[in-house]
Amino acid sequence: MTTKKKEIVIVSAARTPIGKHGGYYNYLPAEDLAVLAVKEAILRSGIDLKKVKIDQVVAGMIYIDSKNQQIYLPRNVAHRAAIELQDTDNLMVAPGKTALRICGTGFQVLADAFDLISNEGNQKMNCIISFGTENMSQTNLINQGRRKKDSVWEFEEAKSTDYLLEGFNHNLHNTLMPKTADLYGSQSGITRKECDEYAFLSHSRAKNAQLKQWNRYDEPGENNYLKGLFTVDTTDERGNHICVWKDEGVKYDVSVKELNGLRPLLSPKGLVTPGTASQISDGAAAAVLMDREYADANNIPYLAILRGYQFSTVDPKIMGQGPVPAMKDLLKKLDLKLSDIDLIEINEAFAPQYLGNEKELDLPRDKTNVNGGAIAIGHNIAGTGLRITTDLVYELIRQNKKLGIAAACIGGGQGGAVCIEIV
Amino acid sequence: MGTCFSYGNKSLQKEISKLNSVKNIALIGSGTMGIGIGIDVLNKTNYNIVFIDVAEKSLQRAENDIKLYFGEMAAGGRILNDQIDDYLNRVVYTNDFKVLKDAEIIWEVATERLDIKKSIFGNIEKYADQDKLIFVFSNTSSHTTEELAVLFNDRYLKDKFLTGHGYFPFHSNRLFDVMKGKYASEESFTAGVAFAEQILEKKVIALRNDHHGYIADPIFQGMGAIISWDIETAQDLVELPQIFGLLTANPFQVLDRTGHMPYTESGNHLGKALPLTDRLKPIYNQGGLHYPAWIGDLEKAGRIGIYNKEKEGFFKWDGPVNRERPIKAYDPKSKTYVDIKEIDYKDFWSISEAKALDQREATIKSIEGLIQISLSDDRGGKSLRRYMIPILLYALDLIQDNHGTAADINVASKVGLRFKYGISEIIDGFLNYFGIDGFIALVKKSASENPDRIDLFDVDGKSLARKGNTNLLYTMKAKGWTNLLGYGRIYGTPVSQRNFVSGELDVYYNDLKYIFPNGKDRVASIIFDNPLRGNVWNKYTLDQLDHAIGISIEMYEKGKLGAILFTAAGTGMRMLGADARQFNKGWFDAKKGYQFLGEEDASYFTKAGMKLFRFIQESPIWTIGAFGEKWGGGAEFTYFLNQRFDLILKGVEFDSIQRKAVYGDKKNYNQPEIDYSILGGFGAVQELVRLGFGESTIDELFLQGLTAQRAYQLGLANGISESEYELLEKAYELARIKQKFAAPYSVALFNQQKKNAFFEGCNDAQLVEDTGATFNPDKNPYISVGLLRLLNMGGRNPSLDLSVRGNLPGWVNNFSSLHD
Repeated sequence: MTTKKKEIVIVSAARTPIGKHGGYYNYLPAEDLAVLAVKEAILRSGIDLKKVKIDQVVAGMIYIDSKNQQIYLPRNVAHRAAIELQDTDNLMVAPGKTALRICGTGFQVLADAFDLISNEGNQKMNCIISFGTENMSQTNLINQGRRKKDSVWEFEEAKSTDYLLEGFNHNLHNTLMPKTADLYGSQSGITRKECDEYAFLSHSRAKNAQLKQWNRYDEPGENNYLKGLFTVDTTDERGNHICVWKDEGVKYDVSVKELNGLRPLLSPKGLVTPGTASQISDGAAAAVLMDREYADANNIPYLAILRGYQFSTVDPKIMGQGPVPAMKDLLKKLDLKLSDIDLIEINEAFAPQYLGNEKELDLPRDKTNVNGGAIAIGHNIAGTGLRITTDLVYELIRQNKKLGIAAACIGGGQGGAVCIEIV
Repeated sequence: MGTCFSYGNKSLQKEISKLNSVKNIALIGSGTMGIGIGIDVLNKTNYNIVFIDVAEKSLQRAENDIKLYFGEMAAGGRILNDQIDDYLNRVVYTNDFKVLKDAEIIWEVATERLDIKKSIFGNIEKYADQDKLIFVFSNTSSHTTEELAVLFNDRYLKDKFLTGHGYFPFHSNRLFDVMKGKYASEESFTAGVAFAEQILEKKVIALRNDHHGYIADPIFQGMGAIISWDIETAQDLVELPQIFGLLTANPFQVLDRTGHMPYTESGNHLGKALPLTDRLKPIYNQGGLHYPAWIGDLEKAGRIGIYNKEKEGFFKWDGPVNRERPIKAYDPKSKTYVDIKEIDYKDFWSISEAKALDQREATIKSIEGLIQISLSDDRGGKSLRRYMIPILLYALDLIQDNHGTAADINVASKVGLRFKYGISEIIDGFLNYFGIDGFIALVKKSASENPDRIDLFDVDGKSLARKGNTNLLYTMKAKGWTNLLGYGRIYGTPVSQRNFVSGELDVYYNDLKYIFPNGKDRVASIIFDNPLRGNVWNKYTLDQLDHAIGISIEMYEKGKLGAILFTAAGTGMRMLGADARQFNKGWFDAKKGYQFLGEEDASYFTKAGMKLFRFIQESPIWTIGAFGEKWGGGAEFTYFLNQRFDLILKGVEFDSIQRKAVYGDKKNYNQPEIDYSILGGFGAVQELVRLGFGESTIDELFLQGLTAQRAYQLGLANGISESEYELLEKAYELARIKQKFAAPYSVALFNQQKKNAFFEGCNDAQLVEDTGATFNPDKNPYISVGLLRLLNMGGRNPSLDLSVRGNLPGWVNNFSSLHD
């Protein structure tokens, strides 16, 4: 007797517009962004918190923000979202954990949900909320003074370092993330001109999507792009009212010529410039995931099936290659061919990295990153995986397509990918 | 002319530089305000203006008024007749909204009616080129940004939409409010503020959050409204507002001078629109009315002050144009104007005492006087407690509710409402005298005296409006903060404000602008920022500059600053000398003339200035000045800097030989002191000698002045340019390049050598010693990195720690004791 394969569905997904460094969310901590995203995902799911038990909250966040409370993140977010949704005994008391897989964190929170729902027996869970959030604008300078041996409350003298920048360098292999992209790009035969043109394309596609974005007009008409995104209307920690409808990093007035004039970061022949790298960004995304049987039994509609996920490794010195084995392995695992996939989202950590992936996998550009990528939108590290998955789900629905893959390279030499199927 | 500069702030550079390429601005609405804005924009920029108005009559009036204005300018010798057309040809008048397609800036200046604004916004949405558009301003004095932004259908235009508000008369009131609201993007806000600040040369109160009427308007309106309900007789209009006369002026007289705004319309609006949390809401809602019936009668009869034919408003005015004086006051009962009677000083003894105190101390409208009044139980004391205390509490509410900062409120009241001391300064004065508990006791006494208005005096968060919001005074008390503002060391004028988030005192200058250095450039910019008054030197500027140098020197010690760029805001980058008002103690007597400064006070001004200037000159920070027209003290200040960059000035001047105005080169350096029976009190003569000038050239400067070219020829100017932007770029670039490796030891030694050479001549033995010392790492800790740089030109230079370590030759940082 064969048991029916467990299927995990994405009941709802929502993401904030992505803010750029020092922009809209400069005074809105990552936790606040996550509360907004989780609340929106639950509202979009339409589930009744009195009936559907939230078994687990899986959080993703990497850098410390102004709150210095990220160790309490999943429970804090559950607690605060519960208050906003007038829940006292479900989300309010749901257990929480935090996942971390650098740029793949947004996939990892989905993968964790996938595994927990796939479990059998006592460990089986039915409904999980996953979210990824980051406020890179609020990352700190860290003083590395250790506690003194002879006193708990005193610290040794030490220099302060930029926590964000420290993270961009993989010390074990002495490689800076832009350096990995330069190396991978040059090994793949990518030119600076191609990189600049691709960065321009990313901005143009994002701009075009914003032109038809669903929440752009009070009377939206037929505009239906980027439905994964919701309008953030809140007050930040300085008491300033903000109302954000679009991704802030998209440049309307950029040109290939201007991109071409930017100075390469690491060497005169380098491919990575401020224009061909993803942006330092802030934002959050959240999803409600369920066992398909459970959803069907409770008449809960869902957006898509999460077909599977894959993490694979590559040489850390060319970590940008990550999506190549991850996608290949995932397709193999799911017994699919690349041509079966209708739309692809590959995180644009760096233009040479994306172009290297495109070349190696022979990706059709008209099916990939159709509404722009992290070069235009931004790469709020822990939130990105879930951001691109959310955008992918809604774009597949918009285009009435079926299968999609979202992938990203991961610092330290990994690649991550998830496969989505619209039903 | 009309350019913006980002002073090294890369994140603002793009938005700000967009303003430099603006060619077209559209002004929708050609009423009084529109015309004022149009004239100001024509004067300060080279933009083309298109006036759009559906009323042909209005357009015609705008065209006539603008023609008249430039005609008068020519008649007054400020421009030449030939130039009139250069201005007039830049304006187009139309009723066709299609012209919006070319506009980079759209400024809606139409009537304050939502239906009209909605139709205008529809046209903006239809015709404006979104790729071109930088921002849309709406000139409104009562609506919030949100109320208006929602009239757009396209969210992208809400991003670009700001409210802006100038004060009448537009070209001569320095205050300008820009409000962001929740929708506008940071880019639009940055560009809007830079436009108002750098191109329109305004003092900008940049408000992030919406507030009905910004800051100054609701305070001013509140001052009138709070008294208005108590007015029963004509004499009340004279006596009750005396207390506000001690801060600025009788608000009813100001209303008459501005044409009432109109009062009833804004009373209606504020009565309805103010949020429930607004302390003053009850005074716009009394007995079912938003304003007292007698004001309604007045306005219905068309009596709105000096702008009606009869010159009747709250007062009847008489006298030559712009010099009208109130001769009678309106009697609400008989609805006629009656003679103004002498005020009975027995009733208002405390107020007359306060005025006498000011006379004795040679000050005007002092805070000490107000404190004395507040202690009195006569009608003066009662009116202070009934009318002024709620306004002070209202100001604290604005800070608490995050509508404005302590300095925003201070500046708005000082610059916009012409308070002698800003509201935050007054509150600080009371807190210093009474202590926080004592001030709260004064508020409570006021409340008990005014049981009919108990909510206006709430500090415990018990009234309907302030429910749950215990007053900011309690926060201050709990944190041990005793003041809202920080004060300068020389004259004790405001230089900083309390940051209620961090608790620190943040820099906030009214007459200067300080731009902090970024980590890479290490260049701070100090901009003299009162262009309307020619960036004059007075006690405020001295305090602020002293404070600015203090924070600069602190950063210098830590290696975070290496150079300062000094410049002046406004077209022509003018810097006048000492403020003439500074030389007058504040009283004018028709027989004796002005009461000028005493010998001691005048010496103190020079002493304080010279100490500071000498400190700047001798410090090892590179200082570079970029200025245009300089007069007296303005020119003298620049003699203390390391380098001077001069703007080549062209303009119209009266030629005394030809007996007519001619266009030509204007002088950059002018020292006219002798003509006014005074002296170049900031060391003109001695500094010029130090700079290598002999008698002939010093005399030339004093007798004729120097153009930029002549100064460049003589070595007084170190760089010249015809464009303000280029001049700033050159000066900033020099500062940026030179700060990079300005090792404190070498710069201090270089300064010492110049000083010694000037006083003692050549000293070879000292040179030998100094050169040796530079190679001793114990004395010069920067030598190893400096030499590596010299010897390793091809490779990547090691980073240089430029913080001050060890003793610097010939220079001790004595800033903290500079004014002891």
